[in-house]
Amino acid sequence: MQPLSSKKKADAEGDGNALKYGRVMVFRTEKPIANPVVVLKEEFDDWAVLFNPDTAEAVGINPVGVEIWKLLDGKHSLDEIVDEIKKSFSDVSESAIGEAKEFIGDLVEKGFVGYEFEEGT
Amino acid sequence: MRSPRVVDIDITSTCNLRCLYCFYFDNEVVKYHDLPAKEWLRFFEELGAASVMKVCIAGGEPFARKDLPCLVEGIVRNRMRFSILSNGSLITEEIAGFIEGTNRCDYIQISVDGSRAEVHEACRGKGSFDGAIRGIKILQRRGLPVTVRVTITRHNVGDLENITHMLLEDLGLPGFGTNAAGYLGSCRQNSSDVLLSTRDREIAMETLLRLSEKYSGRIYALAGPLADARFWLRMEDARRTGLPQFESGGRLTGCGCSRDKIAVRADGVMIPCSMLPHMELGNINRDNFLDVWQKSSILNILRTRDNIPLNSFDYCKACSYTSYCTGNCPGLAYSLTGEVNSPSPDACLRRFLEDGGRLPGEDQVSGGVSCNISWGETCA
Repeated sequence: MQPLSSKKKADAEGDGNALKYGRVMVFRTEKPIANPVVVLKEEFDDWAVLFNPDTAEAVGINPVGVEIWKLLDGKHSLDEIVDEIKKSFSDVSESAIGEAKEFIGDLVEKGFVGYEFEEGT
Repeated sequence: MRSPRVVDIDITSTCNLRCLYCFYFDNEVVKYHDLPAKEWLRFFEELGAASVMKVCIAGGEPFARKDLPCLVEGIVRNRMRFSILSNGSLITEEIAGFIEGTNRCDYIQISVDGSRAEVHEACRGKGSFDGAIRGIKILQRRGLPVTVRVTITRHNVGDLENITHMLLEDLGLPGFGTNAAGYLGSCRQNSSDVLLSTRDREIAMETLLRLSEKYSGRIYALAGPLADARFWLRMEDARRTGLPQFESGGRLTGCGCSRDKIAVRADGVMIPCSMLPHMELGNINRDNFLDVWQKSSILNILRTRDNIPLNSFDYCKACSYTSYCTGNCPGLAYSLTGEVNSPSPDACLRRFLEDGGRLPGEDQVSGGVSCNISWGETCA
C-alpha cells in the first residue's frame, strides 16, 4: 500500500476520508501520524511543549498527551493508543477515548498530526 | 528547563563597522576568530536533538559570513526557527530572498541610531546610515519581519522624536526597541563620548514615555531609559503609597537568561549570555551541550542569583527602594563592579536621584536615603 503524495491528494476528488484519483480509490487510514517537523520538547516534570517551527505555534501537553504523541506513528489506531495509555497510567476514565480523540482532533486542526492515505478497493 | 528554548550564537567575529559602544568587541577574554561552517552545522544537530526551538544569530555582523545561507539551512534542517541581529548594510536582495524562502525567520533586527546620517554615524561610522536604511527596505520588499533597535547615546538623545517618526511613519515599521549604550566592550574605552549623563537620561525617559503613549504598543524596551522610566515610576509610586514588596523585588532577580537561554561566542565557547563573555561553560562539539546546560556548576550557581537579597549589600541596606528593586543586569554589574552577584549601579534609582535626576512628571521626589556610595570605577 503506497501513501499518496501531496500533489496526488490535491488532484483527487472526495470527502477527505475516501478519495478517488482517476480510477484509484484511496482511503484515509485511522492511524494518525505526527507531523515529522513538529518538535516534542520534554521537561523534567513529564509535561512537554509541541513546537511547529514552520508556523511558530506551540502547544503545552500533559504527561498523558506526551505518551499519546509518542504513539502517533501511523501504526496505532485510536483504540490501540487508548489501550496503551491504560497500561501506562492508572485511573484512566471511560471518557478517555473521547478525550484522546478530541486531543488528536485538535492537533490535526493545527497541522501537528495527519493521516496517511492508502489505496483500497 | 530540560534544555534551553533559545540559543544566542555569535556566528562571526567579523564586522564591517566598529561602533563606539559595541558590547561585543574589546573584551579581553574573547578570542576573535571564526569557526568553520562544519563546526556550527554539527552543533546545530546537537541543538535539534536537544529540542531547542530558536537560534538568535548575531556577531559581529552575521551577513559578513558568505556561508550564512548554509548555516541557516542547518538551523532549518534541525527543526528550529531563527532571528538575526544586524547593522543592515550587507543585506542583499539575494540573501533576503533566501531568508524569505526558509519561512522560519522570526525577525531581523537592524540597528538604527539616528533619523539622519550625521546622528546615526556619530557612533556607528561613516556610510552606515544609508546601508541600514537600504537593508530595511530590502527586507520590507520581501515581506520579512523587520524590527529596529535604537541604542541611545548622548549623540541621539535629542533626535528621538525624529527617529520615531522616521521609523514608524516614513518607513512604516510596526515597532522598534530601545536600549542605552552600556559600559561593556568597546564602550568602556569610549564612555565619555557615548554614555548618557543624568540630564540625558531624564530627557530620554521623558521623550520615550511620551512617544510610547502616542504610538501605543509600538515602542518597546527591556532595558535602557524607557524600561527604567516605566519601572522606576512604579517603584517610586510603590514607595510613596507604602505598597508591599514587589514579587520579584528585594533580590537579584533582574536577569532570567540562564533559565531559558544560553549563548555561544564566535570561537565556540558556551557562555550564559553575550553580556557575560568571561563565564566560560564549555566548548561546542567538545562538551555535551545538554550536560553543560543541566550540570554546569557555573550556570547552576548563576541560577541561584535570584536568592541573593539586596539588603546583603551595604549600599542597598537602608535604601527605600530595596523592596521593589531587582538589581538589573549581571553583565553590567560585572563590568562596573567586577562582581556578577551585585546589583548594577547603572540601574540604581537612588543613585540617579542623588545625581540630581528627576523622574518624568516629578518636580521633586522626596524620600530615598542619601549615603555615600562607592563601587570603585564608575562609567562616566
